[in-house]
Amino acid sequence: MSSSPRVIDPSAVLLRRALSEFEVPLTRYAVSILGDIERSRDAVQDTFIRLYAQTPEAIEDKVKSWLFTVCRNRCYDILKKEKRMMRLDDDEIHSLPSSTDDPAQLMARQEDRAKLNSDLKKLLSSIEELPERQREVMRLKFQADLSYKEIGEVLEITVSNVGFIVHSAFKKLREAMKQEE
Amino acid sequence: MNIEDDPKLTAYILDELDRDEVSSLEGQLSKCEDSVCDMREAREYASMIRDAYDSEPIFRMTPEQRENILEDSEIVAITGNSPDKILSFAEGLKSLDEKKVETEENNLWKKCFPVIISISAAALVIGMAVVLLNNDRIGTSPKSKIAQKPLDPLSITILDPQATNGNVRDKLSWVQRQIGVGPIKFPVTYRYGQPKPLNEVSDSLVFLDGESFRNPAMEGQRWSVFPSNVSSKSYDHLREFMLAGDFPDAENVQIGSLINAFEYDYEYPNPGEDFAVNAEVANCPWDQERWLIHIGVRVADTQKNKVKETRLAREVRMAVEFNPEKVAGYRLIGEESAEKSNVNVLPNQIILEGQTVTALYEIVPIDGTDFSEPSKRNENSELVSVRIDYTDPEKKESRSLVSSIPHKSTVSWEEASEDMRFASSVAGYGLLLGNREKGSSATYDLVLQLAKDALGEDKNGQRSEFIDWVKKTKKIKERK
Repeated sequence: MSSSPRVIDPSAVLLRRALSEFEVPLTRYAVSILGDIERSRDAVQDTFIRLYAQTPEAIEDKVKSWLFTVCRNRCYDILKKEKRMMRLDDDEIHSLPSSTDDPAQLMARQEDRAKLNSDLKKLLSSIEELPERQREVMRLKFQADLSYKEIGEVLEITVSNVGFIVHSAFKKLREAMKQEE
Repeated sequence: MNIEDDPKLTAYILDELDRDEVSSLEGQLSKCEDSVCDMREAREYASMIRDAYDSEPIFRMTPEQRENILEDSEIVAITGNSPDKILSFAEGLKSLDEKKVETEENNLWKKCFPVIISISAAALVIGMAVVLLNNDRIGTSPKSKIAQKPLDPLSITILDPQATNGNVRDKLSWVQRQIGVGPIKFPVTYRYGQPKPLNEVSDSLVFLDGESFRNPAMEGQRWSVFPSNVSSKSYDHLREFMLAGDFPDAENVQIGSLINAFEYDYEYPNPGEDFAVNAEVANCPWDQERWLIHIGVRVADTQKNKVKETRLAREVRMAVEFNPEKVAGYRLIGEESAEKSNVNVLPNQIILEGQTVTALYEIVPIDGTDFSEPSKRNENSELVSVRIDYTDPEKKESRSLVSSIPHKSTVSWEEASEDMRFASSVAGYGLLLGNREKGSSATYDLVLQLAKDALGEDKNGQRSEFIDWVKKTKKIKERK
């Protein structure tokens, strides 16, 4: 056991673990829906505040899908409320200021970007061309690393439906990549 | 089949199939010579897609937003529930997370507990400045009633929940205590008559086998305040040494705090009550002339499911009053020496929701007080009473909860609860570690036996680990 596991409130532990693991994928996911960082941050913050209000025992087995479901709902609430389905261009998203950026992080990111080979760039643009549903499922699978089951819970579709969507999108991307070669 | 167009194949690459599906599919693939059956290429594409997503900018909340979220949950409370279970949802990142969680916690501790203990001038009255956070229910008053636990050898009666009065209602004095100035004025009352005035300091002690015990008949010794050790320092220290194949110097392992580092299965308070006192008396396994009193306090856990709440503070003093008609002398296990004032054993005391506090006392009965023969036990008299004084600074109320342990409730060693037997085993180990076992029948084998018989559920493996430590210590000592 670790040094002081007993000095812990399960809800607070759950919150901290969830924050350290899912903050980034959730914010990326929110940005992919909302298209802007500020509102995405609000949605994610709201999601975590709601997480703390949960009884840990009740959701411990499905924390991940719970987070993405609530975050997704928050995003669509925001969209509904503001009645604007605006989507920023990818380039705009990339250039959005992030107040958490420290210079070292920024530099590292720029280096990463420079290293990003053309294959990946092409792949990203192929992903953008996918239908919306496929894009969302692929992001949840490949970026947030949700299982088919978890994706099914978030999007309220069956596991086999998720499998089919992933398969079709994967096939399209493979074909696109093969053509590049 | 057209294997290339089978969603199963994609699911296989992405590790989404169960074991049976995997083996059946692998069977098919092994017979297939087509290049589409070569999974390496597909896996490479999958990993490229992951890389592509990873190359996206890292978005996260602002530090203020994070702080805001954590602030709401700043109450990192002790709980008897098993946090391990909750930690398991992200096995892969567990070790990484643990560091983060702990760092965060450390910061929180620092932030949450600037409260400094203030100690009253009166030798007996020691106040522990305590922070209880996010408690929305402090104001309710515990009702006078009997809380009976079916499996407990003894019933606990809350006698006078409103016994204490107004000295601590003054907000100014509360603020002073928060910043560490001004004494906490808990009233001193005696259930078992006025103590005798001290003519000589030596009167305050009784001696047995060359050891000193406090004499509750005398002024200044009737009450014993026990600390609510939260620190797991002694435990961590011991563990570190054990992992390195050695044992630490006894002075670096505080037995009272070591006992408190283990989890105990104490009952939670009834709704509306702030504390539950679980207490037992049984004969001391390593000394026939002595008895052990095991006091286990559980603090209510009310802050679950709450999002934003006012942070509250509670000052608490937990103490035991010994009945001088039954108890000739007592000693708090873990307390270095009865001669020193026990004011000194109270470092920063913290009490948190859901926390448990364990205190073990060795007591020497008054001559003629028979604990072992049920027929000779006095039906109505009390051995000791446990009193918890606490204040609610917001409601400016002070309260006191008293539970008595009747003479008739004493049991033989074998009848004691697993919690008590285990705590005693740790205490026995402490004696041995500090080479203070002389005159008693404490041995490593006895300690081992006690612990082994008191494993209980051992949800987090702590007790089994302790048994290993005892075995190791024994071996190392034999070698030295």
